[in-house]
Amino acid sequence: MTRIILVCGFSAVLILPSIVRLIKRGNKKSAVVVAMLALFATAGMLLYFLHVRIPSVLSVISAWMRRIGLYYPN
Amino acid sequence: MRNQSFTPRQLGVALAAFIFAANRFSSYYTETLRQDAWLSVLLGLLFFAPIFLLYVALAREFPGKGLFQINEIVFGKGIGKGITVLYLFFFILINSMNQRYVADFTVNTILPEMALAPLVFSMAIVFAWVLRCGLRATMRIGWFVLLFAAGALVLSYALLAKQMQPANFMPAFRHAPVRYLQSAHTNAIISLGDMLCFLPLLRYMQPGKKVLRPVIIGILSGAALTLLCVCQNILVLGVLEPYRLYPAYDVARLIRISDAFSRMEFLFTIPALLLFTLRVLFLFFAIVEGMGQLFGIEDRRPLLLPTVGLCAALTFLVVSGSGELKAFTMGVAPFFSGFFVLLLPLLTLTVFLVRRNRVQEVIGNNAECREEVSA
Amino acid sequence: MQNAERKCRGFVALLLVGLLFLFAACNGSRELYDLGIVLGIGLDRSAEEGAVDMTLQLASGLQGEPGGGMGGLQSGEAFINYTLPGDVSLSHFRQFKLRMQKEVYLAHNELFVIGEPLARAGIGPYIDFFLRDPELRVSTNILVAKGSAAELLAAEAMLSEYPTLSLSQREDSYPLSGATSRCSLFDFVSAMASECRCATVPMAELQAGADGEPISVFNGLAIFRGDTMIGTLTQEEVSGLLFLTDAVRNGALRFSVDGSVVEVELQRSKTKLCYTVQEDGTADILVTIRSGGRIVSRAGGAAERNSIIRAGETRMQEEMLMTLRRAQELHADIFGFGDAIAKCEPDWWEVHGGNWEANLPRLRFAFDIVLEPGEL
Repeated sequence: MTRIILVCGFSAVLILPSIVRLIKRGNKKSAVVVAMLALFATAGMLLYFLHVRIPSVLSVISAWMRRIGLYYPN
Repeated sequence: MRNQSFTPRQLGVALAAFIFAANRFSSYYTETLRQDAWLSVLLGLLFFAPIFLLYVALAREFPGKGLFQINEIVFGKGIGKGITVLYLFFFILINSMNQRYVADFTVNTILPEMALAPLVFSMAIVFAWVLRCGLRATMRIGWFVLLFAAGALVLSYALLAKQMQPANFMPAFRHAPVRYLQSAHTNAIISLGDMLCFLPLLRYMQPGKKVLRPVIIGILSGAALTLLCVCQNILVLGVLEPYRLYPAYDVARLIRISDAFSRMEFLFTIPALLLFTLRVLFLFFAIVEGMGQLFGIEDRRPLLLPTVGLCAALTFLVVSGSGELKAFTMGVAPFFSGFFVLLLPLLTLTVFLVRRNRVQEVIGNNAECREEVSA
Repeated sequence: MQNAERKCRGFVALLLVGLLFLFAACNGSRELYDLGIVLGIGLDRSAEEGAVDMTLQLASGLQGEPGGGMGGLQSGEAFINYTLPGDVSLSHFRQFKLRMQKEVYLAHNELFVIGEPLARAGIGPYIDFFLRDPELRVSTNILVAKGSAAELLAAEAMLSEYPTLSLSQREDSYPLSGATSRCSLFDFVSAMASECRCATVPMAELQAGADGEPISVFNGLAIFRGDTMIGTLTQEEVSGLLFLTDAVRNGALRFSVDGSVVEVELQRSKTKLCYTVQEDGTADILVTIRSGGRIVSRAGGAAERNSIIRAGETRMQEEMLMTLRRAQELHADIFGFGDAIAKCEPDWWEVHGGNWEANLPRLRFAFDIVLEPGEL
């Protein structure tokens, strides 16, 4: 729980001011994009800090490339 | 981004630093060719020459445009954005991998008791700070970083002169030809090919007459510095060289000026960290540029912080450990990156050449529209 | 609006400064008085099966004595030696931590001392830890103790408070004394990784000093094949090795001419080896030495300069032949001939290099020595 609060709080503190500023300036599209990116980043950090076991991107790519035979053997 | 323009000469310096940074924390040169590793730098340059010509052709056809704008012009808005997403995926991936290289190195050698997360997030804060300062400022410090790194390399040559054994280059040319090909391929795609990230930034370059010359000089001097560094590793470490995780760092650790100065590895670590920071920063600029183009946001500044945060988070999710990173770089990356570094730009150029007339019409129409609007 | 933005910026800055304390690696900070600074590490064969006795020499200048009266603790003024059996691993070092309030800090280690019985049994399993530990350095010297490493580390050093520093400095100063050759962990592991080269590690032993207290003296070299000690070179045989490996900087050459003893101090000595390989698997090695120097004593005073020079050159050749014979007896390539031939004649090496140790006695040597002492 502490981790979730820390990560979300950290992201919010860093991102919210700029979103607020963008909305005030009437740049809603930018605000949405920034909020979306920030959401992705927060989700990524949460996945790491909550030790959710997902295969790493590199291992997925490696397995796929090896299957189609494009790799240098060690 | 306001005030982002840079000169071709600054681009050359940045390219030199970018290429020199590539092999600082990895040993993929030496593993395949051992005592002939120096050759892979030269072969890599040869291998890269046609790719470079491809980039030059693209930049020539679309002066003042970045890679992502070119995509939208050539393929149309829909497919263009799709291809931009592919490039973005690639840039974000190698950015995260590069960040992981720095973080792993720091944790393995300099701060062994440090956890990875605080390190990556403090790095992210530094990156965000520099990104805010803009592309032009970053390009400007290229000179300083490059000179510092080159000076440190030359100094370490002088300090290690006694321990260098030219016989370590022998026996030369004893590997199977496939190995040379593999190492040239790896080198061309990974350490040189990553310079693809400068193509999106070309739209900020000040138009000048002599663009090609400083760029080529930059690439060659980056390769020359890399060559010097690889030769030093072989000369000093000899048979042990392929077994070490960070050969250049181990070389610096062997420097001893009598008993007074026996901790001289800063000659490696400080320039190497600076160079790598610069490398990661240029990748960041390319990513932010792509994000802006993708979502149609002209002012890129609000995008900086979330992008940096996203890449920092991905640093953990992309790679699960330094062993995996190395296996990927050595085995799969030359082919995987090849798709983005060679095939995608080639596709863009081919499609452009086929549809040249139509594309030029579109450009002309756009220009007319703009004139009408301004009128 | 402006004001709000400024406030916001101030808040973020404050947050970053706060984070600085969390992020700046302070979680792993260690105070100087928390460190047990290790100056030397000794390894000996242990009475326990599968274990070695590791002796750490810790500097005690900064720190109070760790709780006295513990087993195996020897206390001098400037240093403390502490021995524990184990397998040279993290858990072994942790055992030290459990017995003293200091953190074992290896970054200032100056010397590894290996007891001869352990060296003869093989030190490979223990070297690995030293290579991988980020605090230790591969440029650290290695030394073999005739007898026990712990005793050598405990012996009082002349003109130095720390036995390890004295031993390490003596090993470093070989170019000046010309009496022994230096071997660092890097040299040792390079020889281990090489196909055929044997490492030579200086040996030191305890001898009775003037006041009866034992003092450490360098004497001869230990020869290692791979990680195992297989023999020794006596002090007389060391100079031949130095000539053949081009390691002589300042060496004394002593010989007799017409019954009177003459000494030459060698300076600017340079050795070159030239290899000629034969189809039958043998090889000829031409040893070329050019050395300057000065004649420092001529007890009889009668001999002619030319005959002194000839006799000196003959003496150099004799010394080298003595060492070569010893190496051939042991089937140990301590000179790196095999490595050099593998590099310059790779095709020949692929055919004949397989059983290099057995081939060693079949090498033929020719000498071309020119001694040019400056003054009479």
